[in-house]
Amino acid sequence: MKNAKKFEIYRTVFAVFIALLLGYIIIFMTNFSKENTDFLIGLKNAFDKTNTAFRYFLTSPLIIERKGIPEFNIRGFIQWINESVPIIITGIAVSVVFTAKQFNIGAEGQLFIGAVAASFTAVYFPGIPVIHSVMVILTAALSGAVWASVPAVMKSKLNASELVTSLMMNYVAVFTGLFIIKTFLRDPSAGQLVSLPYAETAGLWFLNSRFKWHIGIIIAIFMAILFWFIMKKTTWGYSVRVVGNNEKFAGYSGINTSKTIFNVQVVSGAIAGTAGIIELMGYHGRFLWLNGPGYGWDGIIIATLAGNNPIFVPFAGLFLSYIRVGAKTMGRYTDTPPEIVSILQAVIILLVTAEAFLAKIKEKSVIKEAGKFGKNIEKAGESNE
Amino acid sequence: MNQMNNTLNGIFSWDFISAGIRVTTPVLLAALGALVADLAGTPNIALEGIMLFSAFVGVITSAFTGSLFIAFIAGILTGAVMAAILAYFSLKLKTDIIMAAIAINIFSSGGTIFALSVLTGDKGSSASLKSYVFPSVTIPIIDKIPVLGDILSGHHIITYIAFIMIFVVHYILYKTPLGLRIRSVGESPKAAKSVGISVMKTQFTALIISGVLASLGGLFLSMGYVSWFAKDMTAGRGFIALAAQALGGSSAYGVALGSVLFGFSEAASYSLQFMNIPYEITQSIPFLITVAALAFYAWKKINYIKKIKNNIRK
Amino acid sequence: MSDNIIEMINIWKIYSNGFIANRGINFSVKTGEIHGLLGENGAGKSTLMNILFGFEKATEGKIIYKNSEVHNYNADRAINMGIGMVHQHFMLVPSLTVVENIILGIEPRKGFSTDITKAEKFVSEEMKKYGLPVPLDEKIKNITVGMRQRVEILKTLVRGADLIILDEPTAVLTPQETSELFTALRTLTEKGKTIIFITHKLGEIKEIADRITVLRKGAVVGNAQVNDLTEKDISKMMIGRDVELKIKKNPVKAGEKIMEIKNLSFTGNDGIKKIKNISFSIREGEITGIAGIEGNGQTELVSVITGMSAIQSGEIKFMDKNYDNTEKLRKAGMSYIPADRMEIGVSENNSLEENLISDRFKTKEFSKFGILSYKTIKNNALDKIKKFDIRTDSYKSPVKMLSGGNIQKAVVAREFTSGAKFIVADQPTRGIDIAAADFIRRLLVKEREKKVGVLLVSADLTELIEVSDRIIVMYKGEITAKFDDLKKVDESVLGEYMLGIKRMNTEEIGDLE
Repeated sequence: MKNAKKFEIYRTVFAVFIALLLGYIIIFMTNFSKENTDFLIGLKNAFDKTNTAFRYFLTSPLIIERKGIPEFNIRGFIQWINESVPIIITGIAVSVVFTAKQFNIGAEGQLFIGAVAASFTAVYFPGIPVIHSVMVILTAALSGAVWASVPAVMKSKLNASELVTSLMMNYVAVFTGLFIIKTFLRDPSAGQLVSLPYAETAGLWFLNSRFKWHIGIIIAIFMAILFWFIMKKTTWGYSVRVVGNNEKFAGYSGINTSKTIFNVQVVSGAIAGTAGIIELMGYHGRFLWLNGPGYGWDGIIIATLAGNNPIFVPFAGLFLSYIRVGAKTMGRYTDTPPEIVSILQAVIILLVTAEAFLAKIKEKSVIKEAGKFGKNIEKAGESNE
Repeated sequence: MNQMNNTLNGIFSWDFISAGIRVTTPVLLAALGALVADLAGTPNIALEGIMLFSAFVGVITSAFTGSLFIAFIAGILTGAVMAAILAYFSLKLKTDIIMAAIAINIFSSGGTIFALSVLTGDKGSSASLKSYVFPSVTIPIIDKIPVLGDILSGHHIITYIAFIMIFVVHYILYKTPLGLRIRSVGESPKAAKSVGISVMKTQFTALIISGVLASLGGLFLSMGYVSWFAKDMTAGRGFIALAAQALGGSSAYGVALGSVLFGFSEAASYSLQFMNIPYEITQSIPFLITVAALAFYAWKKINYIKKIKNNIRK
Repeated sequence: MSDNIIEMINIWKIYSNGFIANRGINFSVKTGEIHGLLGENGAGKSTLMNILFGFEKATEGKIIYKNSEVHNYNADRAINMGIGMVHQHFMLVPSLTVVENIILGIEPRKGFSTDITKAEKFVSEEMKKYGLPVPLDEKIKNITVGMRQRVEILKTLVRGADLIILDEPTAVLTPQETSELFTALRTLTEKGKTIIFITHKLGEIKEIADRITVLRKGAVVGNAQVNDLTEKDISKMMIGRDVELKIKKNPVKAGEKIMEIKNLSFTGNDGIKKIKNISFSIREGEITGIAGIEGNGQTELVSVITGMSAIQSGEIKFMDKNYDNTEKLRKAGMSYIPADRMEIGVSENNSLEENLISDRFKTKEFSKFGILSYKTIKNNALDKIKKFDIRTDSYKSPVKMLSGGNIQKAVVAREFTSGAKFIVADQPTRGIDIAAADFIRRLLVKEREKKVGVLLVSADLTELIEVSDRIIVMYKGEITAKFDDLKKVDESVLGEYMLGIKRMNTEEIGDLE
């Protein structure tokens, strides 16, 4: 078994490498196509430009040159960590629900509606500092759970596909959420559609106040550990895993499958519900999205990279956020659009989830184990005769 | 009261019907694609991304070549290639088909913006490019008939293609060897395999058909519905197509009805905006109706099985 | 030149998990004969035939068809060469019509369309030629099992099959249908076709086959003309010894009613009535056996009794109380060994230790305040591995790494240790080796001595007679016979009732309480 797990890690690393390589090639080609000088000089220029772009891409969240001297990029570092927070949380949410083989991909809607509802609590119910923040987060969790319960009920009671329903609910969430902000929470003094600023008491502590490094990352990592524990070590997590692996077996064993299927979607909704508000509380201090921020989709990527194991989610989230922040800086300093990251993400998902990708190597390692095992069977067979 | 009348007029006018048909077009095409893929046992969740990328390629090709024909071919090829990628990963490399589709959707959403900004320097839309649109078609004689002429004539050419496709898809699925194979592979791959049908080839073909149908929907969006490409302009239509397909079951006509339901509820949402109902609310109507319809459909299905059993008991 | 249509020479099949299904098998069939291929479950028949039909690749060996060696073998080639196979589980698409199923893959065309008229004409000609009438426009899901089998045979014929493999064709048929099938098979051989008939029913072999090959544990143990053999000879070859299971049992001391089934009826999702107004009881300290050909309602009966399917009409009382789901039944003291252990009995991606607690992880022993105690879980697993002789690398191995027999032992280990008052055992020894099967049978008897009520459903009649205290026969969803004194019962008597040749009336059946 160890070999099989090791193999998953190798494959993930290799997928990331291929994606980066592909990214390099694409950037090189776009650069080269813009060259209209001599072929060789063009080639050289394109390489130089691509290398520069890639250097920003891969190093800028940590190191930046100022006046030619490389130094630690504190702003980039904090941006990296802060941006990883919401996607780690959606990643946990998606991991939990995917473990039960429920394709509820409504995290996007859940976090949006969660943030809208929690903005109410944040704006209108100022209170005691820490308690108020907790209340805001709980409001978000509760609303996310309620939102997730719609596809969950339809799945467990009517057997309607949670995939399609949760997708539809994402759109409804954004439209309804914006309507609520516009009607009840709009800040009339602001130029564009944003909510009133949150009450002072509804903030998160700062680890570095100059660049607004908030404690979201600690919350996110805490949640990852918590849900790793819940999934692996509790009876509830056991039920969810068994239902996901073999629903019939679960029912046969006396596990209430439709209840589990409902519960896991609601719990995942509650987790996802908090993903957005933590960023808004910690960084922006008000609701300011005009569209779904896309963290729900990122959650799917991250959960996939992490093999649906919450304990790996922070790593996957930090990785994704790192290349995002790198890409943004690259976009600022060079003329390569940062959206290249989406292409890399797509390639990574495709390769990481491709069971047959590098399967030959896996087969070898598994057969090595099975070889031992096969001999055991043979021995067993002999002793029976 | 007056306002109410206006709205009702809005809803029941012939303009409203035209609008409904226009909005139905892209959803219908993608939903037919969803049907073909679903019957083959390979649900295509990547319709959204395929539509988007085809919409983009169509606009760019028309702007750079000036040829609508080349743009059309390029758009369709895009759909076919993306569906082939989905098929290759899910069938050959055994990626979960839903994950592969999600990857393709992410790729399209970011990839179109990447390419747009490399090509035009603009990230929001292709408005700066001079791109073309496919023509509308006036049907002679019929367009002179009152009422009927307004409804039937003067639509976009892809709209006509979309409605013809209902019959084409029905024909392919239920009257040709390919359709027979697609249905058998989706329902019982073992049975198909046992008579020497390549499950993989059949599913590959079905996915490519679905990709081509979705690409037509995409082309309509950027070269008919409007005349430019905009970031994420499919706005969930590929997903709604899945819902329309779920409503319509295994029949092309049923799927068409599901698409019309969505198209007309969206058209109605435009009309309702005149009634001072905030647009955020009206915009969510089609999605809510789709959810409600899915719930109703699932509920009916459960009751239907119960009813059959009850009847037998009597 | 030999008159063999097919020769398989020195066929070996070793699976990647090390299991050896075929050990150097030599197998040949003469043109125009009906050749019986016999063996117990797991003897390697299906593997050998899958190799012949190109579904699986032999690890080693040669296949010679019509006197020439075949290379690069696969299902396509097999079909093209003229080999057809009728699988035990039909390879038909339920929502397509009969004619669509038959022409699937070889559709006649007219332009782009399927030429359905031509297809129907062609199929009905074949139908008449071989005496296999089927309703062409009906959907498969609406026709009887016997019809479906004819469709399968027609499928091979329209593809030009000369050699037709029938895998346990009578398992699902009524006696009437079986005799119709045999007539059709004789017609086929008269017209020059060759048939391989896989079965483990000896009577049928004597009736229909010309020659037989017997497999045991993956190797050929006999090959002879049927006329030269008695049923006893064949049975000796198959089993290897005269197996008289002879399990020691104390006389039955049936106690209180533990489960009471009253006027139970059940309709499947296909709208067909599977159970028709059945009533009987199971008592503590007694093993009630259910006999019946597959598909006569036993599966549904087990499903309803165990709470896996909802009760549609009638009543089931478990220790005088009504229950509506498996969870509650298990809590009240039911255990259940399901027939389909891979699909239902285990979760193959979960570890062995986790599979062993699936019905009891919420008890105080294994969890406190909702937190699992992995130490007890591990000890429990080690204990079960030892007591039930489950062979595995580790208690943490996912169950899918275990062999079939060991998976069954894991299921049994869990179900026999739940402290149940009532055990439902559905085909508990199917497809596992003799030692393990014997072990499980003894356990069932041991539970009975502990006053546990047992419901045993088994296709293995010897087992049923040996283990049960009384036997109920189900035929077409009804109870058609009951035997209290099993000393007077043998397989052939049971068989007559199972096949519907005989049935007892209500008085003969008498008290089912």
